[in-house]
Amino acid sequence: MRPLWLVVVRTGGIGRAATVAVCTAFTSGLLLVAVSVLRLGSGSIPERLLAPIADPGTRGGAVLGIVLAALPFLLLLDQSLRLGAGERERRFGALAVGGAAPADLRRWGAIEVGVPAAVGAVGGLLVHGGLRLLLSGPHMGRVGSVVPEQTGPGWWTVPVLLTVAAYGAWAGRRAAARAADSWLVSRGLRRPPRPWGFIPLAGALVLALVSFGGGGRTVTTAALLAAIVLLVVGAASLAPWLVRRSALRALHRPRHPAAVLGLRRIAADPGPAARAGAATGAVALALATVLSLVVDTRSSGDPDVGLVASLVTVGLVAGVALLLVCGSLVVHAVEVLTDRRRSVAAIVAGGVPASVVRRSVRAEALAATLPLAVPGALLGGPVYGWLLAGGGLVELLLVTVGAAAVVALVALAVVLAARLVGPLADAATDPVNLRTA
Amino acid sequence: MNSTTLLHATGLQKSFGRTPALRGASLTVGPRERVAVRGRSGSGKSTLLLCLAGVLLPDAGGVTYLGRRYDAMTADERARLRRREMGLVLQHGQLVPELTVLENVALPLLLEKVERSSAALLAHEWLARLGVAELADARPAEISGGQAQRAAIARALVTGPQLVLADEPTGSLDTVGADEVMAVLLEATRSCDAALVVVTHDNRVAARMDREVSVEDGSTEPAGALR
Repeated sequence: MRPLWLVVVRTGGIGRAATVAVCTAFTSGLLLVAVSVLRLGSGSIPERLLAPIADPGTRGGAVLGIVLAALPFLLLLDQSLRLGAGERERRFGALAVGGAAPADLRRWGAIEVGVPAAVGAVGGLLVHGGLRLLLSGPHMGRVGSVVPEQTGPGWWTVPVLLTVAAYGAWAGRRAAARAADSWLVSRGLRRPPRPWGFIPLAGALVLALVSFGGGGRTVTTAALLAAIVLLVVGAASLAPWLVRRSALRALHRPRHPAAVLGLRRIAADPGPAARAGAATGAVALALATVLSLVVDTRSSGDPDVGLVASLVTVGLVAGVALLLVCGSLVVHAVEVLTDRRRSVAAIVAGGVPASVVRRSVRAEALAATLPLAVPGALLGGPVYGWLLAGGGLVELLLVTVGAAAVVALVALAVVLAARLVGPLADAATDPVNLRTA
Repeated sequence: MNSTTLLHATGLQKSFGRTPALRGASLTVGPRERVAVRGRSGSGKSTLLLCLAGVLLPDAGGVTYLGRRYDAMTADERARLRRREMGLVLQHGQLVPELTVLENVALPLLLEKVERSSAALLAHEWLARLGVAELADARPAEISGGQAQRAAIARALVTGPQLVLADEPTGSLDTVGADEVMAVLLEATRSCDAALVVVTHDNRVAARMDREVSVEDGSTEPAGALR
């Protein structure tokens, strides 16, 4: 007979373990880059670096940007733990019936995710090395290196890798606890999300006022960076409550059946949609801001090559993050359908076209992403580009078109991802799912 | 409650969101007693069973097992009590899909840190007693509903519990399969001197028990004298 803990831990599957490892590898790799940049001294640096990194005044912002670039990978890790949630609930429910205590389930969950997370965290050394090869050295020319070659993460490597691995173990433990709780409350209602996110948002506002209110440069910079972090935390915490309320309000108006199905799924479990929506809003904000800065740089007549290169890098990272987020959201939606395939097949057998079910996946993903992508794009585009940075009518038109293009890009990413997983959604509607054991 | 009471539940109230499931349900179970809990769908009988098992804590009222109050225990303590003293059988078997039938039956023993070979031996004995020893290496997806219920019963009894709680154990089976599983459950619990509480809507199942309690709109009433 096999060791129990080994069987339970392996049931997560090699796919999920690999996804977790890849996510933690990129997370720790990017954090190692951020630490390398932080360790640059204030004196003269014996290598040509990207302007925002070389300048001690903007270095903090550059570090924050690199750290934020790791967020989509953490979101993807969290999303990958939600994949197979229905199956995990059934498995953990069965283990609980067999006598496993909640502490046992949490421990197995921590091991199931913590081990691949630790492997991936160590793999982050390779990611850091790879980024250094790609984004440093003479081939970067006038742009300058993004990853310092002369300075590395040093002894900070160990705490970074341990922190990333520990995050993976904590995420696995939390997912296991959620699965165990779901078994207990599956006969009732899930507790709706609460708007606790207003608290960090209020903190962000206070810190922003402190930052703009004057004071020493260190205090101002620290307050501004802390405000940005709290803004991100607050927006991410508030997203489930916002998304659920938006979905419920939208359901009050007459809707196409596909939209009703998608909005009801969001209202029942707003977590995954909210996280994806928050991430999409942040990506749209970043992309629209990048376009605004490019327009501003162009209109100044003598564009700084280093700055433009930085902006393009940020834009590419944001684009990759967008694809990851939209893809994972659509996959989650299809998985929910697959989990409930008997009821889905039943409604199709009763006369609802299978195309409605397929379209509900697209409707759900659009309903989760567009309500946050639009304000993100508007904030980064017309608002920032024109009101804050100043400019004429041409610049306003350009940034507005840019913002619209960002929103269209988000919609296109969702539609493409939904089309790719269409066959999986169709499988849920197959009448064979109506068979009883 | 007296010194021979195994399980005592009084004034249980439980709601899920705004939906009340139990409104003042009470039940007492003595050693080796067989009690049927009957009621319509949605009457709260399954919720009552989960409260008796300590899986759910009621919003009001209390449950004691051999004088120990559930609300004085943590979730982990209640799970350990359930594992050592009780057996739980649900409508659909609830076997872990990734474990073999043998591993499923041995699960409570392995969680109690019983040595693997001893756990396997004991689990095999129980599978043989219930007539499904040949399925030891099969996965739950490869066996029938009736076979899965026998395996679930074996798992519930492998630790020698004093109380077995079964929620619609024959609900997903045909008439013949239901009769066989019920006969197996009754004989197995009798051989262990375990008390048995069965939630059921089936008259034939209730007729085989010593006593019947009726649940209606979340409240309990005794229905019929001790047989």
